[in-house]
Amino acid sequence: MKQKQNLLIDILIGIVIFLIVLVSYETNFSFLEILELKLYDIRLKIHSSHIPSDKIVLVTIDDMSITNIGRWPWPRAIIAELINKIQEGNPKVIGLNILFSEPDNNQGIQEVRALKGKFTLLWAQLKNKIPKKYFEQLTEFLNDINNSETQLDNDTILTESIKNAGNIILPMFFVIGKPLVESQEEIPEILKANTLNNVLFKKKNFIEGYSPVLPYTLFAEVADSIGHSNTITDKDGVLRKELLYIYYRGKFYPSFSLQIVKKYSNLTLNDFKYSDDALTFHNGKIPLNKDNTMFIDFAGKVNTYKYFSVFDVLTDKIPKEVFKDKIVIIGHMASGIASLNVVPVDKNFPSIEIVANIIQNILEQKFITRPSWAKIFELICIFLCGGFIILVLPRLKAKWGAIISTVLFLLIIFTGVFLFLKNGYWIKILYPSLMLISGYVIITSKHFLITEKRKEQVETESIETNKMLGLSFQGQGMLDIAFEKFRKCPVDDSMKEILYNLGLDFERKRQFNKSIAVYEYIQATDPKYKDIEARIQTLKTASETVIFGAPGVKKGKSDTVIVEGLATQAPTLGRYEIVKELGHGAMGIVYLGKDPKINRMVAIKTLKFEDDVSDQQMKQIKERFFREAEAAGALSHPNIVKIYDAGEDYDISYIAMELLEGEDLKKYCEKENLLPIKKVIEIIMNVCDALNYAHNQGIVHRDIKPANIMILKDNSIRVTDFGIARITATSQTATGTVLGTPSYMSPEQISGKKVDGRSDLFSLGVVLYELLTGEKPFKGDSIATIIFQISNEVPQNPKIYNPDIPESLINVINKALQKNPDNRYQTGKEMYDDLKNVLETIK
Amino acid sequence: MILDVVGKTDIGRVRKNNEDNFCIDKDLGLLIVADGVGGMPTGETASKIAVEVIRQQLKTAILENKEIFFNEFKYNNKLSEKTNKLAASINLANRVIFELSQKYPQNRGMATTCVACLIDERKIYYCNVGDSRLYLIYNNEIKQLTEDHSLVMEQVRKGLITIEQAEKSEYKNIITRALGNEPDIEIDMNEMELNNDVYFLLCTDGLTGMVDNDIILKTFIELKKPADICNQLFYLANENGGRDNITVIIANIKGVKPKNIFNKMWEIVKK
Repeated sequence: MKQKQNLLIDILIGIVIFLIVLVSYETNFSFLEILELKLYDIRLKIHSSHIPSDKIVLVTIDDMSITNIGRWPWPRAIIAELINKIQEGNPKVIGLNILFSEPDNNQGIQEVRALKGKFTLLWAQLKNKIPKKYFEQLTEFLNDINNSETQLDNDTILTESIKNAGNIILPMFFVIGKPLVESQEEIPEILKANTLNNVLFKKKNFIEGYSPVLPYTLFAEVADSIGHSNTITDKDGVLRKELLYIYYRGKFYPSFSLQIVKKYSNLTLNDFKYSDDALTFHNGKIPLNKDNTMFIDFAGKVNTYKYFSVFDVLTDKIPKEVFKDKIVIIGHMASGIASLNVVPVDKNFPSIEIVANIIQNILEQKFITRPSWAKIFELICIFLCGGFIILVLPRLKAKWGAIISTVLFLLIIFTGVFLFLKNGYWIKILYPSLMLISGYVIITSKHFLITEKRKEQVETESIETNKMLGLSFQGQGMLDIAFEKFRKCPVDDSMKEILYNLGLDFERKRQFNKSIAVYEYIQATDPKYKDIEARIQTLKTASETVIFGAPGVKKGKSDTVIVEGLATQAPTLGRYEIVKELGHGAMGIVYLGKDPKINRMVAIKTLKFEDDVSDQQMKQIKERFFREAEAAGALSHPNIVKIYDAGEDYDISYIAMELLEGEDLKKYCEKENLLPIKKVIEIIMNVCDALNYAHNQGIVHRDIKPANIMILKDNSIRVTDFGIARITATSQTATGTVLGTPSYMSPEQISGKKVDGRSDLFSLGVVLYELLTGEKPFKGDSIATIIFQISNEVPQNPKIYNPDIPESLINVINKALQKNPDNRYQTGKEMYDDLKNVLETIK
Repeated sequence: MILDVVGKTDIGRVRKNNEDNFCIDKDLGLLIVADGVGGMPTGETASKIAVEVIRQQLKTAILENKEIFFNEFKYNNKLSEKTNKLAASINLANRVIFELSQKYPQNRGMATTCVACLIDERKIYYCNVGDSRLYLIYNNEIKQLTEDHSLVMEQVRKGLITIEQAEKSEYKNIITRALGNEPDIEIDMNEMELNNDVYFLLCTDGLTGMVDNDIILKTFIELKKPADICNQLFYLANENGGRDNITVIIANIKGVKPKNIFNKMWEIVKK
């Protein structure tokens, strides 16, 4: 049950984790998404080690150029000169990744223009006063000024360069987002020329921009094309994607990189077709993400591409041939000027190199993509792992859980990495693997915590053990030992209830003192528990009456009361104090007891009835036992042990009898201890006398054997266990003691017939035989043999064991051992007389 | 699942008292056979206490779903909770018998063997102490699931004597483990999946000492009905001498759900 509960909890935990992960996956929960992006970065880093394209040359405004040429911004003429120099090498396309959005406004040209203005004005005023012959000189001067103006007018110079080159791509910017107020201005012509026209979109989640920042009109008009150089970063500020176009007032504007590719591939914008999932052109295809971006597969860290310093180009240190048919990108690299980005492979990554990477990706047609089946695949992984942690993991042992989880985890990671490296497929592996890890960690740690808890419980459970044992004992009716166990437990509410029930049980057994003890024990912690006060009161009166009541001899069974105190007092059985154990009898233990009333020492024979017999049967057996005991108690003969009392306690029936100091005849049945023949005859005569008396009283002993005949210290003889032994042996089962051997039983006794006094005389004959010879007349290695012999065979002549036995005595033995009772001595008296005769002949 | 079970105990031909006890509790799926140890006083009490305490504990544990493990009990994590519950109950019975034998002189030295099993829809969970046995009869084969804790069988396991010698040994009846002998006891515990139409036989040495396994198996195959088998086994044991008390429980389980594919595969893999 507990296990089931645990399993249920585990499954619940699994379901919760599964749902959390699934919901985060579906909603792109930013924290997990960022973690997944980091995993993307790791895979990209492993992936990014390809050779930079040799089609791309970077010319950079680096620190060296700044040092040698001067602070940025430089005169635009220098850029113009740079373009001219590069153009000499015949590149295919030049991407000038520097935005000149305003006309140049240098101090020099303003001064010159002011001077020119003043001069023209002056000339106009003095036209008539100046002689014609100076006109030529003046015109020349004006030309000089004009020349200076032209030389100082960098914009014009640059425009010229751009115009002459004819393959210059310029950048522009949008502000990303939707404008608050839609602009009503006319869209500039230069923008109109740079739109994508083959747009086959169905979806509408494109990125929009407004307020375009264009290059200075002069440049724009002469440049080949213009592309936006906006970048887009993920939630964690890392640039991973290229924004291939921006939507602005109903049109789509391609990016700077795309324009370079277009120019390089000799295409026009009309050759590009945008569809939902790809941008296709001529013989190329760029797969698109949902938001129409493209993942940038970086070739490597900063400086992967070849850099040339602007200064080196200007000073002709670079051979012109390097630019031949290349894509040249001019941009910033100098610290403080260049715009730096964080990309997966590096921090401080210059924009110019990002452009280079994008161009390489497109030209080589190598992309990182989310395949169309990515989402389905990821969902399958999530469901599989979810199924695992919900249904399988809780049923596994910690070790197997760990192994299988790890295998699954590695499988997912491996698949993710493999697909990325092999095909550039980006599969989100975080969600399923996170589910595995958290599922495993939470479920195992829960198990750990719970088993820990169980251990703690175990430590406090010694009390529980005692309680359980106590309850078991109580269930078995062993109330004393139950109380003993309960006393080892702290008395809390549940314990009070248990103790109270124990008290009631004691009452039912009429062991009032004990129930008082139990109630008083409860009182020690809770004096007012239930009705114990009243109960103690009543019980005290009741028990006193019983204890000091009648002497208690032969009380009815229900009146028997155990007056056993708690541990310190001597145990009692009935009214007798048990002094010590004397030995084991056939049916139970024999104790030395003391009758405290008359200070008489007694022997107490106990026998325990089993309670597996039905109550009815039990009642009959007990009745018979006490009847027999009573009858035996009525016997009064010098050779018969006196029975004082019989009773029952604890389910133990007992008989209190005369305490005999002496020994039984068992010892004298051994060859080396044989008594003189005369002595033997005397003993047997005494027994005959006793049996004769008893038989006359109608009592059959049923178990005459050496162990039941005692020689006391004063040499007198006592027959013990009258009438009791056989009842108990047949009715109750002193387990394990298989009724001993039947050596002394008479044939009729063995066959289960009704026995009378003659049966005792047969047994006595056996005893006589044994006392004389040290051998049993009927013996064998098994009970079956003995039984057979007793019923069928004539015993060996005792003379072969002991030649001294007189013939007359042998006759007595033979007569006693007759199979048919009618042929035996009919009374003890007959046998007594014969023996007496034998004794006389010996004398 | 249909559980057809009969149990019977008989004094035999020689003994004057029956020291065996058994219990069949269909609510719990509990079967117990206990053999009070011969040669010791009040073996009968011991076997009776064992049966009662185990049953009571399992009622508490399974029907009332209360905790019955206590600190002396070593929980075996490799086996299911039910097996552990059964073993814990036997353990407690051992304590009860032991303490009673210490406390009351007339009980001194009492002890009993015990073989017990719990059966549910899927599995049988079983424990044993001593030389009473649990047999599995399935597919025309008989297999003893428990190991006897007897002197001769330990000798056999150690390779000192052969099974044949063991059967003839005069020490055949000496057992090495019994409930009530010591305050703590080692219990053999195990469990197995159920198959359909499987028989289990719990018995004391009164049967196995008198009737050969082959004949027992033949009886099962021929008679099929637990009640008939039971009567026949008693007849055979008594015919052969009935030297000891005989106690037998026969359970026949039908309608066990077939195992799922995963389990089947696992079994194939294990093979």
